[in-house]
Amino acid sequence: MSYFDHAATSLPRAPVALEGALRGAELGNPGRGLHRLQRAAADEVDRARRAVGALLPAMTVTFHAGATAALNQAIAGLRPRPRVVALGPMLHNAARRPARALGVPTWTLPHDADGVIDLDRARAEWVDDTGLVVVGHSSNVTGVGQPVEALCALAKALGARVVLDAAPTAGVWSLDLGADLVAFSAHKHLRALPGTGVLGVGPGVELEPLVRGGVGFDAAADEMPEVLPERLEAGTPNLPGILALGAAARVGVSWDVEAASGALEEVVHAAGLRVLGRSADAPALPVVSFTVAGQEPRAVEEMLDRVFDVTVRAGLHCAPSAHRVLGTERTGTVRVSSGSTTTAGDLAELARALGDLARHARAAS
Amino acid sequence: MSPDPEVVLMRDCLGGERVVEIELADGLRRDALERLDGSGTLMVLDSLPKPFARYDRPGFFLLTGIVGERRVRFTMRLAHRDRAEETALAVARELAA
Ligand SMILES: Cc1ncc(COP(=O)(O)O)c(C=O)c1O
Repeated sequence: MSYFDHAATSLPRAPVALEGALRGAELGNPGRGLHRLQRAAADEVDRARRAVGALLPAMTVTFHAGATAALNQAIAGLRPRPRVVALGPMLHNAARRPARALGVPTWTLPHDADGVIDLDRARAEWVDDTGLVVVGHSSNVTGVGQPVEALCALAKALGARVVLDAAPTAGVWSLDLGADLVAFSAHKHLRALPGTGVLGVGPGVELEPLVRGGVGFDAAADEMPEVLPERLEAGTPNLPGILALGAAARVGVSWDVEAASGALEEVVHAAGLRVLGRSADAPALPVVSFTVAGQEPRAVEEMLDRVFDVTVRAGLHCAPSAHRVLGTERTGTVRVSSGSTTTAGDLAELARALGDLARHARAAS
Repeated sequence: MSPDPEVVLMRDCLGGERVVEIELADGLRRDALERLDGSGTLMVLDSLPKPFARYDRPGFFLLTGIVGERRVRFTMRLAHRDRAEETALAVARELAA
């Protein structure tokens, strides 16, 4: 099987991550107790936190049950509560839904036809009282990146906090971009475990915890402690997930992502298929959406899976706003995405399958 | 008598469509597809490495599968989603007849 759904989750998992997970499964409960097993567990969690911290300079690393949980904590927990929220045009529902659920007015940052934010227009059309900007680092539908660093500078100058959804980019692009809060999951390009996520909290950012409970100290108080990371980490932590992520972050991702992105797009182009949302030269990850004339994306996904043994993902990819930008909200697209473990052989398989499929679909229609 | 076709998966997806996958008692036959109601369009991509068939009744459902294999998929369009399972089973019985 050739696997081209790395944007959903990257497989196979990193061997060091699986070793970390096994070690984590055997640990005691960390907390602030003093017995040997507690201390050993707390040391391991600290070590993982430091490794992940290297991806998030000057931020406090807090662990959560995925990017979704981290984004919910960031967006719903931000204090003071924003009165108006600016939304990136290509957001995943993990960021969009919690932002919309705040119940305050939202506006979409001006963008081009590929969904790339237009900073000049954003500055000119900035809505008064915007206290929060929620943006995705790169689209999980088209792979195309946003000018996050410049957007953070603009938001800062205009008095708004920025929450960055870095689920697709953690481990492959720098996250040191000036955002106030950065969320990602462990199971994408870092190839650690699903159900584990990170929220990096910048200096001076105030968050109300969404989940309350024991943290291993200050047990007599009714309120959660003020200090991070404990303020946001009630309950026994997901030790297998955290140690897996720590180990994966220490090893890092070695991958020429730019070359991979170009190669993947080229395969889809070469088959004569219609690539969506990648017309400019903005930096992009190897995530390419396309359509096949006369065939529903779901049928294409099924054909690739059952006839060619190639795994891709059709639909809206949990990002309906991105599909609205691309004009594909009714049918969705077919999305192929590669990862650091994708081989030249996998790409050749994909090229053969797409070429064959496109030819026969043309002949049949 | 061959056993009844069996529903193996039912899932909601894009825009409210409902997908029902059915395991037929025997492999999908081209002649059975050709005998289905003429209001649909049958396309068999038989020069692919495996002959992929799609039978489309616009506004009602899309049936897809590989000729010779037992698993078929019905994507039931919005207006018919509530009767997805019974419709899929009824068509699957026609295919088995
Ligand atoms: C862009 C983006 N943001 C957020 C998420 C949510 O991550 P998780 O499902 O790990 O919570 C995903 C996962 O698909 C994603 O692609």
